[in-house]
Amino acid sequence: MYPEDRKYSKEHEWIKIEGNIGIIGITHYAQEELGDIVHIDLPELGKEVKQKEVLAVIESVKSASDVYSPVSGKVIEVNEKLREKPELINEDPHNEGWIVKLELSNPEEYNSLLSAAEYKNYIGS
Amino acid sequence: MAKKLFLEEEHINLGAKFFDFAGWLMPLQYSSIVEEHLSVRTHLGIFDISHMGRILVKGNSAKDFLQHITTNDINKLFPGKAQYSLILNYSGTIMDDIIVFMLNHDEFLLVVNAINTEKVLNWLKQNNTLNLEISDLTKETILLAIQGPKSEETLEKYLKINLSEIKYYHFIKSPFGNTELLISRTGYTGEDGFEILADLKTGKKIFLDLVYKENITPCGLGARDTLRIEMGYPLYGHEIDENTTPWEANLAWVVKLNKGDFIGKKALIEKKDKKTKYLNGFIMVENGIPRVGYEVYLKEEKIGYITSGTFSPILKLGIGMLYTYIDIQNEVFIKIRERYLRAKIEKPPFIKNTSLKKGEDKNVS
Repeated sequence: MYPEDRKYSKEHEWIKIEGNIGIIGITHYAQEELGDIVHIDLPELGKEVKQKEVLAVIESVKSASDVYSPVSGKVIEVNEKLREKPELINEDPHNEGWIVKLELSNPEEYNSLLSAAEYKNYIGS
Repeated sequence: MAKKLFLEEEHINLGAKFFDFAGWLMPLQYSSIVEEHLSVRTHLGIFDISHMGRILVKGNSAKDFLQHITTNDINKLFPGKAQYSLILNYSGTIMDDIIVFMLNHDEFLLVVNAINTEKVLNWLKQNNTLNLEISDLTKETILLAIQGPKSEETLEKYLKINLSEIKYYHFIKSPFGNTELLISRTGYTGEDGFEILADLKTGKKIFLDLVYKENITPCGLGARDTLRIEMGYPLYGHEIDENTTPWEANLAWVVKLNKGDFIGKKALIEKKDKKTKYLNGFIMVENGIPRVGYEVYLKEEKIGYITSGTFSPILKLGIGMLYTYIDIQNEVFIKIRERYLRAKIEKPPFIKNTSLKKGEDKNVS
């Protein structure tokens, strides 16, 4: 359920590294907790975020929830498909439902995140 | 400590996610709010709404008493008829919106909002100068809502009785085993449907049978809320409260000023042309989900606030209700996070042509 090719935050985001680019989404656990996702506010390209700052806002039927950036960096791409199909996050949170690609400004931060095993332990699954 | 439903275990077994609502631990959803919502609009769903307060008022002068306590005209009732009504305080603002069921000439059942059950019970007792018997049946009974276009057909088959003769806002008492059910054609979803009041043991059997044998989709309060918002029905604590008159909440149709005296009438007459706020429905024009408490703007000026807002699973866009301090008709802006998004004022219901057959009554709650 939780791929080992990436790391996880305690705020329930995942990040997968390719070179100095980080692909970010929310975890299966998070999408289950949120329920039906019906809207997403995506960041603008070029936006710089620090670790734990708000990167996007996901709206489920019942509430709006912030997505925190697991690392610092600059937004270089957003998943445009989510504008029309935000439910992709429910359907495939770890692949098709990715949210943002960041150019990392402090790659060290990645190391402080949880491994798949640690994250599973953290959510008690 | 939140109160628990008698059927909590059954809801857990069905995979319910729970949340606190009005002092009760309630199912929010089972599968998904959208799926449950669509199930009710197209087919059928069952809700355990046993958190709603059920109060029995009994005695020779029960009718006169309720005529004095509520705003609608009790004289329109007869055994087997239910009525949407309001309880006001002396300031003419809303203590609760309720349904009154006339069981017998001297016996009435009030279904009140969970959040107001204690308050209404105390209010009734405080005003009970006529020695009436006032009892709280909430914890001794189960209240189930079966809602959706297939509700009549499915319940007729299960209960083996004819339900087609029960008109909207009417009810029957029907034997079931060695007990009796109260079955009313009422609901809060905008679809045709029934509400069944039963004792605990019978209610449990009916719930389990309907879910597991008749395959009715269990639905949580999440879907109940999105369904009622699509219809523009008010919810206590949102569109109505003790800072709101029936005039402001567009509930003048439930107030019968010519029926004689009732609590709040004097203040109501004084406040009739003095609305301090206006209730309207709205639909988002720009992409965004409105939520309760968000601010409403006209140009640069803040003119009101949202009382209920959600994503409509049918329209697939944001809808809701709002109060403004000035009377408006066209377009407003909703502040969602730091953006001001366009919305157009529209009279609910937002979904037309549902399976609900209103007949003689308007439908609310």
